[in-house]
Amino acid sequence: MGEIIERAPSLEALRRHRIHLLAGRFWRSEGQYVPAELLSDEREAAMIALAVPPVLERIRAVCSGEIVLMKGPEVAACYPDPLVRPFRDLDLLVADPPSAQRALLDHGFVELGEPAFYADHHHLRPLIWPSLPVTVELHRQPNIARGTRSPSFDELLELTVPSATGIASLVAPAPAAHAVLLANHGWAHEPLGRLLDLIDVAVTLTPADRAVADELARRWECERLWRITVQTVDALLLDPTEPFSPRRWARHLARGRERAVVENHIARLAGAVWGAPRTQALQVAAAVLLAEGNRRSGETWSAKLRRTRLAVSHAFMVRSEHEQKLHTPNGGNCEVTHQRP
Amino acid sequence: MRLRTNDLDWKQVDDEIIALDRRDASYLTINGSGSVLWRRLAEDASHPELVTALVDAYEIDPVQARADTDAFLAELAQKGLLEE
Repeated sequence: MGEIIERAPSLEALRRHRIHLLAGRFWRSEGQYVPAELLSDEREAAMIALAVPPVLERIRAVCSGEIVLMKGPEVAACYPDPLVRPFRDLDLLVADPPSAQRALLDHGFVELGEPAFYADHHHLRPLIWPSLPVTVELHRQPNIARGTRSPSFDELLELTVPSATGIASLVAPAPAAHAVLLANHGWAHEPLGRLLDLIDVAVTLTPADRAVADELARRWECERLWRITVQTVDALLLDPTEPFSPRRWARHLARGRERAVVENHIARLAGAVWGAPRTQALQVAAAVLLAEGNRRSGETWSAKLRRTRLAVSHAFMVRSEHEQKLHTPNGGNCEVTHQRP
Repeated sequence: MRLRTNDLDWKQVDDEIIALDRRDASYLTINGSGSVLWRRLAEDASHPELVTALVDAYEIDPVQARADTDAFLAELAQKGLLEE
């Protein structure tokens, strides 16, 4: 990772890949300067990590039934130093999310965000325990890429182990299952988009039986995206002797840079097609194109047109810069009314 | 005298200590000589050992180190973070 961190063009690029805390640790170990703003991020990560046990204990005390903790602190526990793996929320899978949400609200948790945004979202409105800086998201099923199959809650329960957080009777996906779910979730978010997603797969896959993971990927119909993710993880992170020959839309990874706007659009389309089962590739491509052409939640058509025009004129600009310009007064789109918290 | 063992968690970030008092969900950031003393307290160091830790870390006069140690312990005690 050291080489990628050193090649990265900016702290912002490392932040986009969510490996800034890892970079801070690397720079400190090398006796290099660590920017003050990064120390602030490290403090925040420590505060969030400290908040996890009391929040999970409260949830465990309030909610009956099985609770599966995914991602966040569960993956962080697989890192040599959990504090370098950033997270802001606790992703919990439960059999009946609405009932669990009501129980938590009755016991002092508070909902965040606009209700309309979460109406069709893959999790309910985020919850927070007042004064502790970590949000809670209740899911019925993991978030997955288009065209793949999500394991049912009961199926997932059969593939769990005790949670690394040590909270009694809290469980987490076993390493092989977790690695496949993380790869699929990362793909749903952005195919081969962020280095942190690949590191997550690497650290969960390392102690796992790869044959078991391959079988789960087949069962959950995400075999193609799983194979590409593992090839990339091996070449970039686990086995330097493996040649890294990424597809055009994944070249940013080895350089630790952000994707440009045009690369991002290509990645969303090409990645969805490459990752979907062959029989579904066309349907998935159509769905992605349709989604690209649609307005965001709460966005007017004029704002959508301005966003499209700016994306074309910013085609070779890195995404963070493009997004910054999108939200400046003369940049265009200030009309999205429903933003994630 | 030592750090409270119940409802008190902490992490080290570079040379700082970030602590969470779970009784009232309040955070505490401790840096400089405080973090040296905190880490030694977590190892059940005695009062003379705390003073020595400050003398070694900052090459200060033992009288000054004792005064700084006493002030820090008084602050922790006032926040209810110590136990006998």
